[in-house]
Amino acid sequence: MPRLDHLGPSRADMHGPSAPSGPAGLAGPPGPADPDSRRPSRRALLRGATGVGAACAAATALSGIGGSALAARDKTARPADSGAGARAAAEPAEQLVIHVKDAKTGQIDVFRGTSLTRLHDPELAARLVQASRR
Amino acid sequence: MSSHREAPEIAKDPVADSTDLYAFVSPDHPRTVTMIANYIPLQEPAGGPNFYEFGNDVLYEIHIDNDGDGFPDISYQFRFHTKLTTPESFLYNTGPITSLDDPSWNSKQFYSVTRVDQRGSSVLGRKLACPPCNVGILSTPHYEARLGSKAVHSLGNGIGVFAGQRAEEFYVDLGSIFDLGNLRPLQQANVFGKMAGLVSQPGVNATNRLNVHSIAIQVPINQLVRAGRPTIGVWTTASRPRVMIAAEDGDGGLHSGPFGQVSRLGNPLINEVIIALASKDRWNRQEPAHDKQFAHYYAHPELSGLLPVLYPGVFPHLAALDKSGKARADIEAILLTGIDKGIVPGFTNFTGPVQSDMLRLNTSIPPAAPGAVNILGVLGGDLAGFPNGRRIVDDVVTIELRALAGLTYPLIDPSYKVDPTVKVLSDGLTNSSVANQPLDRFPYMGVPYNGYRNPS
Repeated sequence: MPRLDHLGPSRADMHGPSAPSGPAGLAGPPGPADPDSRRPSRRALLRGATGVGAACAAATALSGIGGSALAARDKTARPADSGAGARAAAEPAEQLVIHVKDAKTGQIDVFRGTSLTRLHDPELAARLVQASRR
Repeated sequence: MSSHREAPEIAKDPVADSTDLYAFVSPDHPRTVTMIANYIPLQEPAGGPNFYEFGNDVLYEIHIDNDGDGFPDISYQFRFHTKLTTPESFLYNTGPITSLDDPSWNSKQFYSVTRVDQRGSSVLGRKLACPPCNVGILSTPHYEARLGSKAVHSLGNGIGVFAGQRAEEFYVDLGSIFDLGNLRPLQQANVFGKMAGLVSQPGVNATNRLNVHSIAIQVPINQLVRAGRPTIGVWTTASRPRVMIAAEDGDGGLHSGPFGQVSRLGNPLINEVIIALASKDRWNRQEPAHDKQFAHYYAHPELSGLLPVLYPGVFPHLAALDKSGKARADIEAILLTGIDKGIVPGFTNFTGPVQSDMLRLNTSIPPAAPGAVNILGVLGGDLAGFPNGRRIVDDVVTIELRALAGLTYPLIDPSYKVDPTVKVLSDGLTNSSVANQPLDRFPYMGVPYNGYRNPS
């Protein structure tokens, strides 16, 4: 039986996980506050329902780091990736999503509204990792 | 399919999945260009109770490059929102929908249009109504007269816009093509078809009687081109917020961060059959300006190598060309830079040396008269058709099949002998394979099939 699998280039791993589908229905306001929001966990932090707490934690850490953290900030407009998409409807500004991309190097992405701020802050990353293990 | 479910990730996200892109000089308003970006593939017309709609969390864009660098100079952005008339009902409609503001229509969708260019961002229209889906003969009677045509909006300055459900006009025999490249008219020569005892048959249009969602905009040419550069590059993208967090209680959730592009479409069938599986998701996230990284797929198309294997003895010259390892500069030119002057008499849609996958439309070429349209476009001597932009009726499957099989290689090597079968190579379909034909006026896409009679 002839086969075709020898003809093309060998298949490599695909890039990353599947993009999650967002709700296609009515775009409603954010849900009510999570009743578990007082329990710090990495999951709760990332959920954003605890955004105020996350913001406080991040703000505290940032104030402690001072100028070095601010100097390391990389405000990413990302026009090459998002086209003109960065100019879009705003999300509630008090909610943050913090993504510790690499705890060792301290690379942290902070998502707020329609913006992304990239930090390089190993100390803050370490504190967030520690908080997530409580 | 042109770009339906063409990549692993976007196949799981149909609301953001671009299916086809068209760009052509409007035949009834030749001082304008019509651009149509279709999304949400393979809509079964009876798909209630939650009938199809655009993503409220998706940024849809149609981009225009008018200086040949592969970056957008003009972007038209479309954002949608849904409004429920009767939130406590499970029904899409509680009675016949006879107008766009009919209170019987529960789930209405509206949108805004924004133009972004070097001068900044300007909102061209807000709270523009989409038509409902074509539910059925009782729910949406006199669909086009009362609903579809009423959803064409004028934005001023000669711009018209439409966004909503339409009939799928793209025709392709998916069932045969993705069954080991078995083109039904030639299946007796297919290596597997021959073993199965198959004989030549007409094609079957796998997308017939299905719907899509169209975003169509008609813009005066002088609002799109630069002086002395009549050719524009057009593509569409869909983007989602980078971060999406599902709410534990089921409502709302969080969308945060800048938009990240998840879908892209310029030339038809590219991410479908040119780009390799491992690179498809990445291709969807790039801008045309960065397409040089994918140029090897165009220069050495896998499908060109497959044809002589699938059809032994049918394409000997193509087999020799493949074996030579020569780059398919014809394919690269057609799809990545446009065709320069002096190659096809009286025609060019060259945009410069930057390799970028865009629909390239030379707006100075007038539309073909209705009786003079050739669905093979430039290959058929009709310079107003693909790859000069793309019209709704253009047979892009046949055009690209024949080009990949070597028909266009003599453009760069006149000594090359095209295999005789290439001139009849086809999936056996034409634009007459579509039940609901395109309209002769904006938005041109045909009336969507209704759910009462389809399937039937």
